[in-house]
Amino acid sequence: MKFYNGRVLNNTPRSRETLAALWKIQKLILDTLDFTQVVQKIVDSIAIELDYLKLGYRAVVLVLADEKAGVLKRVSMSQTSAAEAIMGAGKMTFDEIEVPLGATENFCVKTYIDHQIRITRDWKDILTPPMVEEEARRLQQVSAVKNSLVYPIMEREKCIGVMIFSLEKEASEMSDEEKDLIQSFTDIVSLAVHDAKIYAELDAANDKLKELDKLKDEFISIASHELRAPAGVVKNYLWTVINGKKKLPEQVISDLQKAYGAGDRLAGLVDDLLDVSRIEAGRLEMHEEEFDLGQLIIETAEEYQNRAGVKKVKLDAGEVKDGVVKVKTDRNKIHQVTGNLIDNAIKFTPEGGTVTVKVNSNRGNARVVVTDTGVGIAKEDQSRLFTKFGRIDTSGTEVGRTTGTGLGLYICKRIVELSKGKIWVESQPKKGTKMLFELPSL
Amino acid sequence: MIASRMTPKKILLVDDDRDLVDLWKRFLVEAGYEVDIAYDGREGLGLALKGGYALVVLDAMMPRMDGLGVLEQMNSADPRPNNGPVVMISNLDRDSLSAKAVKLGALGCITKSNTNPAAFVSEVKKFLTQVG
Repeated sequence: MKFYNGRVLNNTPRSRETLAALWKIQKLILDTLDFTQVVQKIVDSIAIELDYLKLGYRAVVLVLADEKAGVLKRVSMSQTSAAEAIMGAGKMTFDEIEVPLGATENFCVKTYIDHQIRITRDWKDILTPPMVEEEARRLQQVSAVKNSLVYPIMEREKCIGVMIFSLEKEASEMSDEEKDLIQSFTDIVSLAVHDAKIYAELDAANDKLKELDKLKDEFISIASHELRAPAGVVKNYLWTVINGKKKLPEQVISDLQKAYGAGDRLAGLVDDLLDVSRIEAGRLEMHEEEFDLGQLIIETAEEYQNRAGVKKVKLDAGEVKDGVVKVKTDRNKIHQVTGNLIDNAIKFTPEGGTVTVKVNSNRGNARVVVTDTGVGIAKEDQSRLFTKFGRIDTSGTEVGRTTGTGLGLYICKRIVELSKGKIWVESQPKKGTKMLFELPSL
Repeated sequence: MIASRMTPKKILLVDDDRDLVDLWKRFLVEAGYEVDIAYDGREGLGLALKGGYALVVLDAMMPRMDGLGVLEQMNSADPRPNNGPVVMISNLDRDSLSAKAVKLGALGCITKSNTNPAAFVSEVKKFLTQVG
């Protein structure tokens, strides 16, 4: 056993001509990975090479085993004139020539089983079944082939098929070197077929993965649409009742507000899951635009005034000025980040506390700081904050009932990073929390 | 709150989510608008092609013809119907919808589950102000 081009060959190629021929074929075959093209290239290249060496070969046929179907199947034949004549005269198409593995009189099957090289002067030995003897011999006459050699194609210890080399000369006229060359061809064929098979399998697996990925995306898109629809109806009707002209008892309003909040969380949860699935797939799209960060913060703070009011928390963005800090990234997504930070701050700040939002310019960066007077976060919990499902234990605090998916800050981090910025936390238990993020400013 | 004392602006709401669209119509009428409703895309297209709407609000996912389909048909109609701008509404998130809709000339998108009747009315007002 020797190595050729870093791979194992079963035999040793001897002469310079043999090596050159092998090298040419190997190079040709390695250019392609598509299975159908590789198998055709194999037989064509070998036929060309043998013809070039004027060794009197009429046709080269590659036969591979299909163990599942229990047959030896012809997969390619050299595009030589003899081969064309055979096919033109034959009653069966090339694809139809399948030899059952149980046909143990057939030389191809014999070689496949015992791995021995065979030679025949009678084509009934290689074509029957599926052909009848007369048909096999008629075709041999058309092709002017005197002898056919059947070589096993070995992949390690396993035979994967055979190569049939058909000669217009007697076997006794074959030199040792020629036999060596043919043996080496079959070794290369085994490598090429092996590679092409693996590639075809990979390709199929890849197609399957792409298909699954597409299905997953469609499923998430449809599921999120269908989950959002009823949440929207519930929220809108609850809102109508809560804000209706008819004055309702305080307890009823409070109960309905809880239901409204749950509808709101459901819608938010769907949004978060959709975002996370996009992040994981690397498909969170950023639509860049230039915008005024101050103005965005003022708008966002306004949107959350009502929520802060209900919670009896003061939300102060009074120091934020518009027209001072400009950035270029996805405005909607930064809106999502600021909204999330303000919402969290309100959530974790007890009644009577304050949430302050500030924007400033810091060494070429626009910095947003959301400070609360809430429960604070222990050092050991801070690193988990921005991880997926990284909720921290608030059970011992007065906001212990606060709910959330633990996805919000993970999404914020990814959005800020996609905007070439960074996000972090500064906090001590019972001393409030500062959430900060920076974006490159214009 | 009357949008205009002279001639109320006409708005076309096209959405198969009947519960929601009926509720929004109520609030828009209260705010002084005249509102027509269609419960599927084809019916909506029929009304939109007649023209006369200051704003056309199209749901993205509907039976018979989706919102983007209606918008495409409105764009290619000859003569073009005499309508104001088109706004998309959807439960799909903005990302997947807005780029396509804006390309087709929509003024903006509203995510249904993130709104309430008052917010919806103020969005409608905002879009109407944008076009004067």
